[in-house]
Amino acid sequence: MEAAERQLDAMNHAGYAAGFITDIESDTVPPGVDESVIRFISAKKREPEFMCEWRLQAFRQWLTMTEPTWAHLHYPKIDYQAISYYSAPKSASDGPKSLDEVDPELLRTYEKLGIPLQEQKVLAGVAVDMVFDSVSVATTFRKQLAEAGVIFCSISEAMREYPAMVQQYLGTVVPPDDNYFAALNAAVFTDGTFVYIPPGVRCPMELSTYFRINERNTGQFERTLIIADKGSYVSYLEGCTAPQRDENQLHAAVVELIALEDAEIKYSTVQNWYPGDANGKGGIYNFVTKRGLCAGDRSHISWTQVETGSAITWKYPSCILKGDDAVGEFYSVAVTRGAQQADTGTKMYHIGKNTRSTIVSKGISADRGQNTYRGLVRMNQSAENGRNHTQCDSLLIGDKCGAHTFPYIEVANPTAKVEHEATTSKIGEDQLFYCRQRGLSPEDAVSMIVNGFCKEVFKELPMEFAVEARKLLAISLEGAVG
Amino acid sequence: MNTLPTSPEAIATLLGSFQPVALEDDLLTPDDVEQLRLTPVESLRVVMLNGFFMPELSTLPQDGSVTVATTLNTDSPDEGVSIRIKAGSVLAQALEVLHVSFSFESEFIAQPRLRVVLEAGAHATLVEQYTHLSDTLCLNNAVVEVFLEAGARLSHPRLQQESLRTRHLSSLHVNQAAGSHYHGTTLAFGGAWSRTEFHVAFSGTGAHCDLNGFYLVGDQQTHDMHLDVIHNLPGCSSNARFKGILYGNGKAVFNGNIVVKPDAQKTDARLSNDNLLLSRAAEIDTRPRLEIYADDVQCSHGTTVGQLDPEMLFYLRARGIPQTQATLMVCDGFASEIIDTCNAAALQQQAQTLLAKRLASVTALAGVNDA
Repeated sequence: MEAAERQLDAMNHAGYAAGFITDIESDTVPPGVDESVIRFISAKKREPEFMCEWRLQAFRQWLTMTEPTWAHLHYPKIDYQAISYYSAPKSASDGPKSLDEVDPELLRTYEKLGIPLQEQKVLAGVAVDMVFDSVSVATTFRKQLAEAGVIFCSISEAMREYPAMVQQYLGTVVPPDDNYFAALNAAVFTDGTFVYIPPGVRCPMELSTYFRINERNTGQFERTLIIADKGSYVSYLEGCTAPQRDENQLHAAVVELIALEDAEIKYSTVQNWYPGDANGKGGIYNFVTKRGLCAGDRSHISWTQVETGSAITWKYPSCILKGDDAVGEFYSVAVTRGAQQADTGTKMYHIGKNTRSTIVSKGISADRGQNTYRGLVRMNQSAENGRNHTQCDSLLIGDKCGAHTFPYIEVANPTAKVEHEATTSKIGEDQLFYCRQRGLSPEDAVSMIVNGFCKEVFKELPMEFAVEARKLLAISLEGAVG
Repeated sequence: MNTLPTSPEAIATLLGSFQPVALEDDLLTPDDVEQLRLTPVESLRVVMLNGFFMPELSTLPQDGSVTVATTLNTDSPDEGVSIRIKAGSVLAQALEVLHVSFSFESEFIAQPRLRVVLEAGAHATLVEQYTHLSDTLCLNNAVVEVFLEAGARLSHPRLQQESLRTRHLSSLHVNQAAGSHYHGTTLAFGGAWSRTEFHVAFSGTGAHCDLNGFYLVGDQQTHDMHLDVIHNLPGCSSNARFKGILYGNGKAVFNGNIVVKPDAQKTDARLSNDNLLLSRAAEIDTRPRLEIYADDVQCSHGTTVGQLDPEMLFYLRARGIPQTQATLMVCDGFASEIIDTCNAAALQQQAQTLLAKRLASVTALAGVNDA
């Protein structure tokens, strides 16, 4: 099997003409979406028949739906027929030839983040020889994972190799008709990640798309499915701290997590897509549906996110706490500056008895950034002794930005206990003064105060990520105060 | 009918089935007013029956500090009362507005409209009461406007104790000029479904607004509390505190919104909503929202939903207080924090009696379930 995978990887990266049976002309479809485009994508991915049907159904649903307008976001209307829904993986010749051709601003950021030169090239989309460090790293990792019985592959691969499992779980947490963007994703998703952790297995390492080479260039309509079987544990890292260039403006990903009895899934995201120029022009629109199902008793799902990129962020990682004693957590830091807008938060549906959830959300707005927390806590009648605590704090830097808090709390069980707290303020003059008095530059002082503000969330991130996230935050807010 | 209509069509349909009634001035007697009044007998009093001003039943001031006019410069409804309190006057007595709905028509609508203007530097207490006396279905659609000119201070306790035959809609609009101070307490007990709206806006800096609210929602009741506090100018402060007790299959919605507009620097805005659920079938949906577009501000909101604290009950029971009594005491303590903010002794008394009476029937039932 491993050999087959490796071969597949090679095919994926070998440039298109050689890899696939179809001829070069049919590798790109004209902009727009209709049933033939969906059939094309499905055929291209060599998916089983049921997937094609599933996509078509989602597409028909999507046609009947309207784009949601309730979010506190303003953006020009998206022309869905102007978007290209399938682009063949970039061949080396398309990208910049060397780092000299890359935006110097981007390079400066890489330098500040301390990213090695080789990786800088990959991130900037410079054509590099495929045999660089990560490939060998990935191979070693795969071997180790296979020994533990963990399946970690692209979702296209999973559909071919493990169709039964995909059919059983795909769309069970986020149904194709869940919302406008999820329906679109279900119809046209091009790739994503599939993870299965067998019963009782503690995944030997933190899984990250970063190490899966064929993950690149699938960002637009990504679909992730993670299943943690009974008593298993997995920690999954998504994204990376380095700013990523992407030609696709609209992103509509779907992430589904399923935790069976006693299983635990920890999902950490660092999102740093291109935010656009000072007026938000050209930035990424990020419309993501992320939801985890705590299906079994004592299951545990934890979302941690650091959102610093994208022109528009629309994202509510949620937990359905169905099993008794299930635990859901959401830790978030969202930064908006320039003309960035974020409407993000979580949903916690308490269904099982003694279910607990914690929400910690930290929003930072600077320049003209608009940052909105929107969160739902629902205690069903069956959620005996359900417990939720929510803390959302907003920090405002500058007098043109905005911070908004829209919590929705619905309680239908008298034994449930729900608490929500929110504060909004700016960085205290006295705090700044204190730091500056001790010789810190204004930037260092701000960075220190902001990091303190976000500490509760950063401590939930895996160690390496936390260090990077801290650096990222400092860079994101550079020049915001002065 | 235990749900609130939300779409304009549904509201139009609903209003269509409720017909306005003509003014009948012999329905209400001075004795009734005597029974209902929540201020001392000699207080200034404006009585409104089904939205019509009843001059014979009202007690109007003679000294010119307060003027009452019945023609409002608004399009609708036809009748309404405008009360103007002269600049600098400090009213020693409370001013009471008694809204009574009473008709033998099967389904009728009352649309009281009230405008209160406090001229610069005036100080007053305005006591409002909503009561439904007949057994017929009534839709009470009240609009109250309060204008506080510079430096004016108004204390505004309100008691809504309509019957379960009533659908109650009331919206309160408060407009505050520089340095004015509004202190309001709304106690909502009645109505099959009821909706209370608050809209606060500032037209000058340095104004302060205190909004307190309590709702008791039981079987066959739905209560909706909507709050919009718009900080559009710098240097104003607002503090909204709302609490609710729900039992039976009562359902309540709290939807509070605080907006701090760009340039409304030095705003201090607080919002809190606490709820106590006493039964399995009760449900509360709460949305305390903050929309902030200025940076030099202090804003916070907090919400809690929970049941009676077992430790508190245990503490009381360990001292020989029966379960029912203990429950009542804890609920009373919870509600008192709001009820006690009324600057009107009789109204406060009335609210406490209502609370105790209504809860006594619930806790008696709960006691049966426990055993």
